[in-house]
Amino acid sequence: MAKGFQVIDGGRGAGCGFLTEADIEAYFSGTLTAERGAMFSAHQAAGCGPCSMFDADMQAFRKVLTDGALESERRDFEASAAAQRDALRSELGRSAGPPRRRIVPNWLLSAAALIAIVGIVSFQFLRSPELVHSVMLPDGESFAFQAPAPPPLVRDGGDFARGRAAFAAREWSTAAAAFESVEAEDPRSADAEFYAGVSHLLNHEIPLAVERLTEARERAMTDGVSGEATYYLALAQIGAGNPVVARELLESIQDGPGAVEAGRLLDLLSP
Amino acid sequence: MQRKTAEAAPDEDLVHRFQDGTDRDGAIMELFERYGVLTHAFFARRLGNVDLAAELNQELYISVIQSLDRFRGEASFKTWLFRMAQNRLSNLRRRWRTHLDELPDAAPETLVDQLSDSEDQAPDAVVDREKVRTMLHRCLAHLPEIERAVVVGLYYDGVSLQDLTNRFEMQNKSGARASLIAAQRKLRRCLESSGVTSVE
Repeated sequence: MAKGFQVIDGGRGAGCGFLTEADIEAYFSGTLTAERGAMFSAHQAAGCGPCSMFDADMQAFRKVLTDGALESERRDFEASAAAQRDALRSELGRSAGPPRRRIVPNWLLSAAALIAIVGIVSFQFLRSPELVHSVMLPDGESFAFQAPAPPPLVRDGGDFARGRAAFAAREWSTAAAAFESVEAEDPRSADAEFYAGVSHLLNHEIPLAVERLTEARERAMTDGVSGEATYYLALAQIGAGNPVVARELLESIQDGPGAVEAGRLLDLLSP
Repeated sequence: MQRKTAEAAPDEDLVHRFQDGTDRDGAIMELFERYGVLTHAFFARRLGNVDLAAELNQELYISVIQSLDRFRGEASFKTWLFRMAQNRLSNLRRRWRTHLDELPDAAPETLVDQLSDSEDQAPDAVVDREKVRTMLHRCLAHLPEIERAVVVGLYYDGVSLQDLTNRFEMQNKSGARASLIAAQRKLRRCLESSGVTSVE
């Protein structure tokens, strides 16, 4: 293993713990040794499903890096590129950079801060669609996180479909209500429970978020896919002022969705 | 947008410009102009759906903005970007329950039958069913997400094609059946190129 590189995911990420960063780097630059490639191939043949997925993704990524995008793919990209650029500019406007050398007088900074506060308060009232959310960490720093992708449509019509549409439109209150209704109809719907919890979290209804996500996590644990529910429950617990509980939850995430973010958050929460 | 007439700055310079705060916006937008179309194509190929690709591509670069301050340069920016993109795919697979490690080790008999009984095959074709079963997971990994989801839904979970059409909001006339046919063709080709089925 190359010195200075970490094992991929280290048991926390997408599930393929075989390759190192150096291996991937070598693969993309075409310098992965035949011996190492054969070892990875044998590892997949032994039945490592996540590594097969990772390998297929790597191959596709290298191909597009090497050959470039097809003309049709460029056209597809351009059809949505303007909206993507706008979203990035919006995010850049929201995200704080590292500390810079002060070159403006204090009175101007104070005025700017006041305008920013008014802007944020107005923003909350206007309830503009949010792409990125945050919770306040014990040290006063904020931790930004994203909402999960909307679920696939599993029922044609009904409360789940309404919840899904509202979730996709980032109307958290409507989504929460719709997913709560699904749950009342079908107490076994772990997905509805999860999305109800996340919708409450994004709507800043922390106690309800904790309640729903705790349920969702317990149900998901029986399926062995509780990582995502655990991650969002940990965020809700931070919001509820329980960083110790949140840390324990994050430490329990070994793999799967939310694992990378969980590791990042755990680093920030660790004393 | 500013266009450079001189040689393009290396990725690492753009990363530094972002991290030291001298030109965060310019650096990100230049990285997006450089890699946006490539990652979009990557997502489109792996997902088999352009709209979803655009969604994930936007999420990817928002994540880049949020995380680039922590990029330490131990690997190249390209490798780091791949990890970020792959992570987004992985999250989607968990949500759709199409991740291979969530499937049973043994492929359903009906799927093995379907792929072994290729119309292109000669009647006396050599088919090692056990090898087909073993190779199937690796071949499934290469399918676009939508096609894999249809195969998994139909053969592993017993969901009807109509329900799969609704689940993935497929607008085309033949719905999930079109994805299924494309997936079967690709799986057969993959098995043949692996040498586990033969058309000779």
